[in-house]
Amino acid sequence: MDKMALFNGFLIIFFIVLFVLLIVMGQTLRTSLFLRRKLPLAFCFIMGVTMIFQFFIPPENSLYKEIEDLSTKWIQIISSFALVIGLISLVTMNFNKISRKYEDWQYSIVLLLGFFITIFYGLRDGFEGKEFDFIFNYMYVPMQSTMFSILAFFVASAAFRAFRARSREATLLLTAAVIVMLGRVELGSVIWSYIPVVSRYFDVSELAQWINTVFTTAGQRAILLGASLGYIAASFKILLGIERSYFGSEE
Amino acid sequence: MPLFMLGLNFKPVFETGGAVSVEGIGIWIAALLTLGIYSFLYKDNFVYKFSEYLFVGISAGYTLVLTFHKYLKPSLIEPLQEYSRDFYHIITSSSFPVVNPWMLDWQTQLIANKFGTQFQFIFWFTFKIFIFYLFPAILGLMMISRVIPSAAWLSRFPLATIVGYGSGIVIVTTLHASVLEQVKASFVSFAPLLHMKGIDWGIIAQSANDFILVFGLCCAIIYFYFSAEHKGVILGPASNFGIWVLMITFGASFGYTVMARISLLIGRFQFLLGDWMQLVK
Amino acid sequence: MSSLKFNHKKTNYLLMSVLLGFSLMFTAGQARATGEITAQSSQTAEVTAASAEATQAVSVTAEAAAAAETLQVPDVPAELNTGYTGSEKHIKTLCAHIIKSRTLASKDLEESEARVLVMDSLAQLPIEKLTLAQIYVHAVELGEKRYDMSHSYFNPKRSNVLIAGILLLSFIGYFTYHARQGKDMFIRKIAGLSAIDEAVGRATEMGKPVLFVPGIYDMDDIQTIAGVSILGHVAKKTAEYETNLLVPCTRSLVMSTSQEVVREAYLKAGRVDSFKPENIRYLTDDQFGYVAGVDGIMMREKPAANFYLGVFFAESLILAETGHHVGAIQIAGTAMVHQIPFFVAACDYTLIGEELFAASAYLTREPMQLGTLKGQDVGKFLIIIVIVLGIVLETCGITFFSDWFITH
Repeated sequence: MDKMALFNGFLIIFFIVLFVLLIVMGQTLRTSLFLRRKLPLAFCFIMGVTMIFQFFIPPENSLYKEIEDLSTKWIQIISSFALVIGLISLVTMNFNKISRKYEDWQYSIVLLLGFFITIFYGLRDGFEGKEFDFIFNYMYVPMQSTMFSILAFFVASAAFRAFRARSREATLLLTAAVIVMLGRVELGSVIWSYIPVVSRYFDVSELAQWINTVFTTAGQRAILLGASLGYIAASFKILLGIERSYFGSEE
Repeated sequence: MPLFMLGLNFKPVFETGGAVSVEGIGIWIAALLTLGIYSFLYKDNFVYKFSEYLFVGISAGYTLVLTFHKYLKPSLIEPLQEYSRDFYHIITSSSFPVVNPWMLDWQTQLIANKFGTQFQFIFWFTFKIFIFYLFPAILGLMMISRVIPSAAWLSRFPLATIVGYGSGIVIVTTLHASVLEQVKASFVSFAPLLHMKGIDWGIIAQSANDFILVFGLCCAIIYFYFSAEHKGVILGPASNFGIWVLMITFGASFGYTVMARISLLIGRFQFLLGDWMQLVK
Repeated sequence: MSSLKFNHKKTNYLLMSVLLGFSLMFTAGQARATGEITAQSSQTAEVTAASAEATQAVSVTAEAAAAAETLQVPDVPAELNTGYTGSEKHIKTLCAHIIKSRTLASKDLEESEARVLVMDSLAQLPIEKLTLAQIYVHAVELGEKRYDMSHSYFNPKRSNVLIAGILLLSFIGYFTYHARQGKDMFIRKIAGLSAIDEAVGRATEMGKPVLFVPGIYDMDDIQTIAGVSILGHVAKKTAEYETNLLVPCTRSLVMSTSQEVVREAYLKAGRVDSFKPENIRYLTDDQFGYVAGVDGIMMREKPAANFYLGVFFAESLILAETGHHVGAIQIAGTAMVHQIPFFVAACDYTLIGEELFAASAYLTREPMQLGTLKGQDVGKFLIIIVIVLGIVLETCGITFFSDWFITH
């Protein structure tokens, strides 16, 4: 056990030293245009080409699995580290809010308390801990499902607003929505029978089914095909470095 | 006024013996937070603000815990510990068991004099550790270097790696799963209509549906055509019809989801009325 | 924006890429080689004292033994223990069993391929007194050798993806290259994108902030990248008009990228002192925790213009309705098919699917970006032609064309 603690300590010191070295390197080499512009694009290109190459390897070849494992591990490790930046931003922002007594600063205390208590118990006991379980089951999950269920109210209010829309497109959208809604519930066919003329020739659930199989399939397929072309073109631009606005400043 | 006089029978916080019930407190907290979030539907107020800030804090903490236990530990910390321990045992020829299969194999080869020199072993070990663990960890540290503005440019490397990974995968998977499959699914056959003997309304209706589907699909694709004005004999009407198809699609999709969303709300009310107020069982 | 031109003369980073690519493949190859040795040598591993002590070593050996077992003769179904008469029925049964056999099941053999295997083994086996079981065992062994792709680097079943990819990318590449020579290209009006300036202008007039939501996915999704590139344009406008820009993020990487992009926009507009990095903040990775936070921001800051561009799930309508209640002008864009209806119903403008990806070209009007868009259009045209051709051939009963599109 002692050896492990020693090793963990060594690991932490190692990473700190590595970080300091990186910072020093970053500051001394910051004028190099090759490092700032070209090399990151090369990373992007290699990563992309490797993933494309991996797709065409037969799954029986162990290289397929190797590249898959290696790349997912890399992405997991990088995004785990990246999370730190976000959390630093969250904590410092709320600390600032409290120390400068901005509006609603009291609630920031609640946020920070919730944050630190959760990570304290979560990191100490893992997912099995009693306290962490309590936070998860009686605070996190109920709030999550409540936020999700708010959608029911909003679906209703959005539909109500669409009722008042006057354009031809909105009318089409609304008619299709009403028919599908009526077609899906028992009560729907009763309401449908009060609509003159149309109800004599068409059954509402069949009509809803027809809209789904014909129009929804066509529309969704068109969006999917268009979006796929967009995806492919955008990835192509990114891999070749034509689109690099996500890097921000060039200097 | 005591609540029981209203005929209400809330979940008790104390058990019959007088001890505090963890479940009771939990359900009370959950119910109050649920109401706190619903109060937002009326207007922004201090109960919602409290619930919101608490929710953000807890879920951010949960993200960190999840990332640490699910990703960082199994893919970086634990392997590094395991590999280094095994490395130490092999180098010092100690009698402790070597755990990692990879390292076990290397040890077997070293003992059988098949691997080569110990120097070669150290070289391969370092190389493997570097590629699998240290390199991504360095990229991760480069991300953290954003906290120091003059070294912030280092974060471009991890960013480029992740963006490249996503772009590479997307090109092949969309071609595979979206383009080819969707195009193939659109190859409808009108052969039954051609070989129809007499008038069979079933076949006619099926073919008509197929025709509307394909025609609607093509028109909707034309709506996404960017490099020409949607005017003229073909493009104008086609893209107009395309918009109609899209609007009907959206409407149907909307109507379809309404019901599913209402069932979510019912679930929450079951919790409030059943578990908390104990009105319905 | 001249810096965005593609400089093909600079080959140094290409060189670097080749080097790194080799090292990656080398490592993976090394991993593979060592993995193979594990399978061979772990059977003899009991000899060494050190490994015998380890408990895991036993399981490793057991796994290797199990792996070795699968390489042996496959189990013969009881149904095949009869003599072979050469009838069509017997061949059909054989084919069915070969396709389903344990070692060949993952290879997705067609019946014609299995039939070839049967015929080849018949030719190799002695002619007299054959049982179905003998033929079966021989054919499966033959199939294992023939369809063994563990040393191949290309999966022929995916050649259709390769060809389709090369075709589409060559169109896109061709038009991108042509665009570099300065040809002007037309691009139709996209209402949602033209409304960006109007929305920011309105927020400025009202003295209220602008809210930008870049979706809930990380930077490895193309929609997020498209959203962030629109953020650059929005930030340029807010910098010019000196309006506050709020960007709550659900991913750490998206937050740092957004900060860079917005800083760049403020720098270009010469307003770097009015750039507030604390306005681009990280909330939480959790979907609904994020929604709760953004809703709170909307209720308190009362933005006059909301942008939702990126990947959205159930939160789409919660955000859009809250935004509507605070009276903001809203522009949304996503390629998530199931969320577009909610945005269409609740927002003023919606970029549907591909329009989101076209934004970068539409807003910057760079020749290369426009060229890519033209390439996409040709791709769409091609898809329509292929669909019509496929229908004609299918109706005539010719199936080879549609069979080519089957994906594995």
